[in-house]
Amino acid sequence: MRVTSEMMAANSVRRLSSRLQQYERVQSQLATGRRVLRASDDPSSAGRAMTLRTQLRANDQALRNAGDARAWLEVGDGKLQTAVQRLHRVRDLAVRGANALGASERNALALEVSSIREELRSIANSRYRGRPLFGGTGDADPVDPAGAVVDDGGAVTRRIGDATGEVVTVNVLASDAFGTGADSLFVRLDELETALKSGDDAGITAAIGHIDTARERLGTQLATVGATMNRVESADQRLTDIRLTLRGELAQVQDVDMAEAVVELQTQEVAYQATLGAIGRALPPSLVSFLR
Amino acid sequence: MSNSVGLYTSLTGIRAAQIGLDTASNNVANANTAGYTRQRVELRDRPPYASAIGPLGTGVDVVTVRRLRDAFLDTRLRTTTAGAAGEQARAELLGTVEAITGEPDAGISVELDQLWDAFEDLTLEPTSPAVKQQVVSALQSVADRINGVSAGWTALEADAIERRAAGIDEVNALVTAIEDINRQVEIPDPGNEPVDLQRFPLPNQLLDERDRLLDRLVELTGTGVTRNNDRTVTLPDPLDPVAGGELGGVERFLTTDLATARTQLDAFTTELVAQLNGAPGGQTLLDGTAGSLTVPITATALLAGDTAVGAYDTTYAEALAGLRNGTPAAELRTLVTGIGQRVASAERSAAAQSELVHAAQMARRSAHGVSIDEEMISLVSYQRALEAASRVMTTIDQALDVLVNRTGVVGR
Repeated sequence: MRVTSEMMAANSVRRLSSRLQQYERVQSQLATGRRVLRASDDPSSAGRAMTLRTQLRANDQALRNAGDARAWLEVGDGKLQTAVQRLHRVRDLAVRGANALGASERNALALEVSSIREELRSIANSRYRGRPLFGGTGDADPVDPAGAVVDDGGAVTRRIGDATGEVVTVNVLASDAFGTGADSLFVRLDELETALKSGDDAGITAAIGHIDTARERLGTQLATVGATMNRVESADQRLTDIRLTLRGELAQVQDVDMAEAVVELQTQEVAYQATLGAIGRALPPSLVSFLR
Repeated sequence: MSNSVGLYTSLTGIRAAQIGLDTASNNVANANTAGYTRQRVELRDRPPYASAIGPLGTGVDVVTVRRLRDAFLDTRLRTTTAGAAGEQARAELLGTVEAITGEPDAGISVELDQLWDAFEDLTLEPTSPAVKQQVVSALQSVADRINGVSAGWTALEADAIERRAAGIDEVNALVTAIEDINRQVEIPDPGNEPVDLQRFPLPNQLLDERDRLLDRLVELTGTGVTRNNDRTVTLPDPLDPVAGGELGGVERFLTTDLATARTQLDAFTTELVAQLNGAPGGQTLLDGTAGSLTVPITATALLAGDTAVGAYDTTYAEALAGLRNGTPAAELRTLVTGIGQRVASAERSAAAQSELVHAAQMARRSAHGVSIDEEMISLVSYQRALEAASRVMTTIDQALDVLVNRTGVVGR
């Protein structure tokens, strides 16, 4: 094929430009750390990367939810433990009251029972972040001064799994913990107080039985809270592991292998130098220089 | 008689050599001129005269200076250039469409992820004014981003339309110029015999100019060109400027690619608005279509749940947070990967076409281009021919001189 100097010049320009393009591509990959910068670099990988990113965000949110759940459960646990201890004290008082004592001693016991009843009432009405801890999803105090227990039955749930799974209930309802209606703890404590004041031994004995029932009820709730705590902690661990896996997969899909890219950059640099050298010799002297 | 014929013969030799030198110097001067075709002198020996001993030659005639142009290579290059220009234009415009979406780092998907997170934070703190404000801000960001993409595409469409209009103006100017040259080079009534090149010498420079104009015209429109044997070219009438070539690529982008992308964006937006507004609670969170989305709800009016059930109920917020895995996210993925695939395929196509163009261009340059070495050799041979012809003339002159001045002077 007939070759003219114009052709050689045009070819040189084209080769140089193509070399530079490749060099630039590797450079920008190294600078950004990413193999896939726009969707068109690798459309299927880009789609996968979008899915993974969404999953990562959902996972991070679940971790936040788990932390929030743990806080709820710990507060509830603390309050219930305190309540159990105070009930234990009440039982002691009741047992002492059952042993025939003088009126003034029984009155003193009744007074202490009354004050513990108020303490328990304020525990039942305690607030967490401005809302009633044992009140479900309502805003009203679950235990009124008369001792009636009313909550709206709502459950406070937290998502601690992937976006569609694992939801835990983190609250305890006052009706479950303290009983309702005639069997409510506060009604029973009122009865104990009355029995102590009046020296009603049978009444005191009955009250002790009811206090035991109340303690069991609280114990059941504590067990539930404990079990939920365990679930939340294992979920926490699992979510952290999943986060690592997702992050690794995302890196594989969209990030560039640094070591590989550095080697590639070196190769491109050498190739570019070689191209420049070849082009430097591309336009050989023409016949003009040789004719006298 | 034969001697003066010999003089005249050497004169024709000198003239031919001079024209050869002129042509070679013209070629060398135009070695780097774009679209210049190398020229060659065509020589023919003159008709002989009938002498006493038979026909004797009378020298050389310069028939013409002809451009060594290969019309087939022209057609091949123009066709491939038209295809490549169209694909290149389309790939460029599609690349801008993709850049405007800003995915994956600064696009709608980022704002959507933040929105789902904000809804979930609302389930943790259903009555917090700060969290509610966060939700409304996230909604506003999503609306702004979608509107931004739509506005960006509208601006791009306006640019492309302007580009097409400017291209059409250029096409009109080119057609006028080509017709102008046609008028200048036209041979009336050529018939079927070869053209008499003495009466109608080849207008090489005009023909080169017309070929340059045709190159550009075909690059822009991909039109076909018919050569006639009266030295004119005929273009299709009416000439559709957007049927192919660069303008065809722009047109394809406007009518197909951009329209498809817009339809997908609208579908995604409609789905998102429907899902958000149709969630339990029936709160109108987003209103409008892509390009004019608004957030009608305020932070104080936003409800996390049904207050009739409880002040801290979170059913609405939970349902909204659950949309993270719903159809809007999937539709957005389809939109983004769809655009990505189209851009990638247009770029690949443009690159492949560009290789074809380069090959055709090299072939054409090989046939039409000036090789300095060849011209040097031409120069040297014409120079020698000139020297030789001058020498012949001198010789004949001296012979004549003897005949004229020194014959028959016996006794003088």
